[in-house]
Amino acid sequence: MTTDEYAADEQVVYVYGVAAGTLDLSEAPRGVEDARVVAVEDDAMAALCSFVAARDYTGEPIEARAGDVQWVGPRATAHDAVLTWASDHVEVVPFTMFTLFSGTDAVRSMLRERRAPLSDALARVRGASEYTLRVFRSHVPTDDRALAESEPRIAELEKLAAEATPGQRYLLERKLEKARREERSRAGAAVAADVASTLAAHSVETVRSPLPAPSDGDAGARAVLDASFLVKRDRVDELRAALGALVEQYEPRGFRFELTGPWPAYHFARAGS
Amino acid sequence: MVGDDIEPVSDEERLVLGELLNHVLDKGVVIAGDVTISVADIDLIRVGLSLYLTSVETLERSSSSRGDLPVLPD
Repeated sequence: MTTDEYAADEQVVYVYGVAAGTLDLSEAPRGVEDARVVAVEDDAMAALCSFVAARDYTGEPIEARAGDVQWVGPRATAHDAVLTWASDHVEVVPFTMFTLFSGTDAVRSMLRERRAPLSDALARVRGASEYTLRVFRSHVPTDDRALAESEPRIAELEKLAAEATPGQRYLLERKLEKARREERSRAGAAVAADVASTLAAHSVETVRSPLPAPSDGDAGARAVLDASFLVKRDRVDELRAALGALVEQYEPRGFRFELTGPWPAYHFARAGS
Repeated sequence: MVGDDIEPVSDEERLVLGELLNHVLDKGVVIAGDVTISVADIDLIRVGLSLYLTSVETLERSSSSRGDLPVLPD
């Protein structure tokens, strides 16, 4: 069926996520398109849903809007608001945006067919929230001196370059810059590994997301870690204290930390994770 | 309808939005991810993925054109 075949008033079901048990939705925030959030229930699980116009949310219309941040933005905010509100009341497995079903029967079938992985995911996120940490490494002016002090290979290259003839110096300086880059990259990976494993000790689960490909040169900040932690609510203070110690240790070396959360457990709703 | 004609967003709002999209458009295999939109015959993962990529690319372009903002995660 193509989008053109939908009647103007035909609707599909947008699912935000699945909550454990029943939830009084009378106080829930409005969802996408300012729509009311309703529950489709099956045996102690509730899919949080809104009805949206099929013509807007299927096929070409939605693909066409894919790159339009002005369109996606408010809907992303609404999607998150519904899940954040629900997560404050019961455990919730969030679905990714634009998870759509043809009708409430299809939603109920999904709840039945996926009962086992959903129950498993609900159990894992019980009493926990997601926190996301990004660590960036900046090239600080004192870097080069610190690198030479810690790495004899770099100190040697610096010495050779300083004593070389202009012709040789060019090649040596290129070699030196490459060695510095490698060393910075190695140091970044080591800090990322330390930070991730330290915080994992205070978390139920950890997911590391892929980093963006490095851009040319060392200008600006480069991400060395993008990780999400599923943290029990009674251990959040502990996680923050551990992070505080890491910041104190690594910030003077040019590492910057950005923690966001609590989020609904977006990164922990994967089957089999 | 929510905010179809919202004001242009500031750089800070773009970063917040980038962070939000990073969460709500998770690229991983989500638990409901192989449910197909039966009415439209489109794989949900593909829809989500292309949305994510194009939205974030748009954000990155606007960020990198200013040159002083951290690169958003892939």
